[in-house]
Amino acid sequence: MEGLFVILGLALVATVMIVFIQESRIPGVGIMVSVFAGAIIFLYILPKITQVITVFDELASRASLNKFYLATIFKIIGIAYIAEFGAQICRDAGQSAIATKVEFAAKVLVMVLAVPIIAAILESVVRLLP
Amino acid sequence: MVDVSVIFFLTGLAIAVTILHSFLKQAGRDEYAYLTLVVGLAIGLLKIIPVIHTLFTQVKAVFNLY
Repeated sequence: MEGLFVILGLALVATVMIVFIQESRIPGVGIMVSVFAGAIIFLYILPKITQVITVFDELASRASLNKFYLATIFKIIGIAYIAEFGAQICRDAGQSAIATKVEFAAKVLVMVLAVPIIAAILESVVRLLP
Repeated sequence: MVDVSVIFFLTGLAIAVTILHSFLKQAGRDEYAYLTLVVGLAIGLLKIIPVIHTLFTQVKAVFNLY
């Protein structure tokens, strides 16, 4: 709970600073502050994600699930978070075209990661059919 | 936890660059005025690139992205 107040204070200070910087002669520094604040918030919240992932790992090993599937899901979540981070910054800076390409690349990477799972599903379906 | 004071450093950098830019422009040195903008951007990038690198390494470690 106290982590939320830390993040909120950081976000408010960063917002005021960015609005101030964008009035100056060098508005690119405003984007840098935005990137920095985003990175700090992400780094602050990552240990909590680690705890959740550890619990999920333990549950999966108790259910004797294949490790490969869970690892793929976590990889997909990581790709989605990072791509969203980058795309939002590009869009904030007014470059929606690059943001769309970043999202497209992330979607393709997720599809590539998902192909083995789809193949496994299809294989089991084929095995079930007479 | 990375140092948050980089935000204030970057704001001060923007103020200093703006003042230098208007000063040099008033003095008629347009090429030096432009150079201050480039140097300001370079210093800002040097400050935030390590933070982005830390973020990427940590995300890679957490989600096993290799």
